[in-house]
Amino acid sequence: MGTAVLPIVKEVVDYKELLLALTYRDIRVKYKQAVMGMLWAFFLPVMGILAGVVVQVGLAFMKQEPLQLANVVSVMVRMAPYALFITILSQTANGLLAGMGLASKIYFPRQIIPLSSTLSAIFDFLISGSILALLLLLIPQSPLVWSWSLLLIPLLLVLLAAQGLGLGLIFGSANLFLRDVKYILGMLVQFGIFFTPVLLFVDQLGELGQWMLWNPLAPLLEAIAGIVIHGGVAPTMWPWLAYSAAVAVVLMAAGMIVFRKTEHLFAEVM
Amino acid sequence: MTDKAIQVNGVWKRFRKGEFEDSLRELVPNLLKRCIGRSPSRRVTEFWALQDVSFEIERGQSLGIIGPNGAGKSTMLKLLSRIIRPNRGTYQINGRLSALIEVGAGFHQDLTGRENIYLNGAILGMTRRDIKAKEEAIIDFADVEEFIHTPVKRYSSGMRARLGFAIAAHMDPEILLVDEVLSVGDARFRDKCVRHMHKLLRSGITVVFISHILDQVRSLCPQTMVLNHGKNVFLGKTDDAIRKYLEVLDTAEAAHQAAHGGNKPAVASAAEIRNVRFCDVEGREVLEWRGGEPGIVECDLTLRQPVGNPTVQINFTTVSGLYLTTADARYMGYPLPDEPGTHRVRFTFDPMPLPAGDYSLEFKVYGGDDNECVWAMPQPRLLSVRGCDANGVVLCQGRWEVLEPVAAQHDGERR
Repeated sequence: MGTAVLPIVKEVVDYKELLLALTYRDIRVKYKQAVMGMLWAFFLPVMGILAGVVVQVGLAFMKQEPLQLANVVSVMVRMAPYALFITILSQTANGLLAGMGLASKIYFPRQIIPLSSTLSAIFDFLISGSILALLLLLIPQSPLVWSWSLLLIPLLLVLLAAQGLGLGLIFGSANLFLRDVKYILGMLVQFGIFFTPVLLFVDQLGELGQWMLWNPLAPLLEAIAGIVIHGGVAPTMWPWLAYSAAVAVVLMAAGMIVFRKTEHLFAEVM
Repeated sequence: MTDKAIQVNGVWKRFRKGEFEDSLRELVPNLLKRCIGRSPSRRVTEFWALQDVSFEIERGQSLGIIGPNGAGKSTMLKLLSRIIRPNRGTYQINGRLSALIEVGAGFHQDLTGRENIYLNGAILGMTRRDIKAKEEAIIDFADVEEFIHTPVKRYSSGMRARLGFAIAAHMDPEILLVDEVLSVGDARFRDKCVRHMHKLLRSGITVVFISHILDQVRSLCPQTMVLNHGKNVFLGKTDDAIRKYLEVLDTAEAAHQAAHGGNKPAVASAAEIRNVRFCDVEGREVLEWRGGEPGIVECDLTLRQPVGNPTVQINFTTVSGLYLTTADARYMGYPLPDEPGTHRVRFTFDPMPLPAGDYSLEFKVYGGDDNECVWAMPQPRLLSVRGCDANGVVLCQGRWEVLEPVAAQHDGERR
């Protein structure tokens, strides 16, 4: 694998100007066009959070308990990374199709396309993430717990991004050759949230929650929420995190292999 | 450091055509059929877009590539620019290469002209600093100063093409691949592009140039390769290559006629022209006209029935398709006989106004009350003129004289 990765990285370094230019283009186009401007970055998370609040209010009502602020915060903390995953996944997969029009006319390292999609998704996350962090610091009686384990969050986000990018590469490459793959991806993006502990948490779902942990995103989101609200990762979560990390590595490797094997055909299928 | 800029050794490129599964909806049933042993319903044929093509270009030289549509010209350039890979064979590029395959390919509609300059420049491999240094020159060349802060989607197609060419033309490549892009914009801009290409050539870069505009190929490339059905059928001096190319076109046309014209009902038209001969002043048949001498065309006009005031028309165009003039017997005051039979007709072009080059002559017979086209030659005849190099499309013939000494006038007195 090492020998295969090195030239990929070297080409990207040679073309870093292009990577930045394409990322800048994606960001610029997104924020320039919309009347809402920067609101774009947290439009999706805010909608998700509102949905989560509705679900949590409903749950509290049925249990005849008051709504807990910690649960609302938990939804917020899960929603931003989940939005990052979905944005990376869909932008990588769709960006590949859009970028190939260009790649059939001009040569540049093809890996630039998914990388720039990922970078612009990360840019969105940085905006929504900073606003979220600000909120956690400012709201009265914030459930945020200061602990060293907060430093783990970037690592968890890297695993989450790797899963999104790997899956995006597989779907994106497949979509170039089989044009209806994008419908499957569309369904994943649309309904994925019901199979991921974002609006409802693993411990609120009982037996079903344990099954949900097989979704490789679930341990990451549970761990992030646990770190922010309880100051650490639950001990039972560690094996699941290892599983999630393994899936991230496998998806990333598979994505790169699929991409590497098919990229020279991209210009021909267009 | 080798002195070859490009070396191509026997490359082959295969493409698939026909129906192959490009969706799961088709793939899954076909896979199932294959599992139970039935042959899937698909017909994929493969064809070779390039077959065993080899050539070399010295550093600082330029090579033209011409050929009929579908001959593999663009495939060759895409291969050289690494967009696609050959199935067999190798090639080597020595130097920084950039390709002008489609101008403005990387434009984003929502970005302004200036933003697109930076984006497109980066796609073409320029650094931000390079682009900054050339930004003014690019805007100036493209002549889009007023619209530079306008999104490209509001540009006219000509402006877009000009901007695209200007960006690409201001990179500093060592090897430049150009595909058909010098045909953008109006005549003035095209001229500017060609002049810019000459400047790049003089600065010592290597150019591979594809065009259907043969005059451009002639003016930019001393050497030209002719591709036909993916094969290199000729590589040599551009004038010879163009002749070979026209021959290839003729053969293709004849084959097409043979294949598709065969089952037409053989109704003999009222008139026909046969036995076209090009002659010199002594009446000897020649293959090309000499510049400065009269040009003579002879042909047999056969009338099977009276058509009413018949006339023969010869339309002259350059091989690149520029219409030059028409020699029409009746219009020029030489009415032709209307009796059925075969008449030998001679037209003398005196003085012949054509500079050296290749021309295409279209023969037609007109006649009747409405002056209808009674007969047209299925394909034009090709004719070369040699020995009178001149710029432009018309041979300038005339006299210059020095008349008498003019009394010297001092500039100072006038002012």
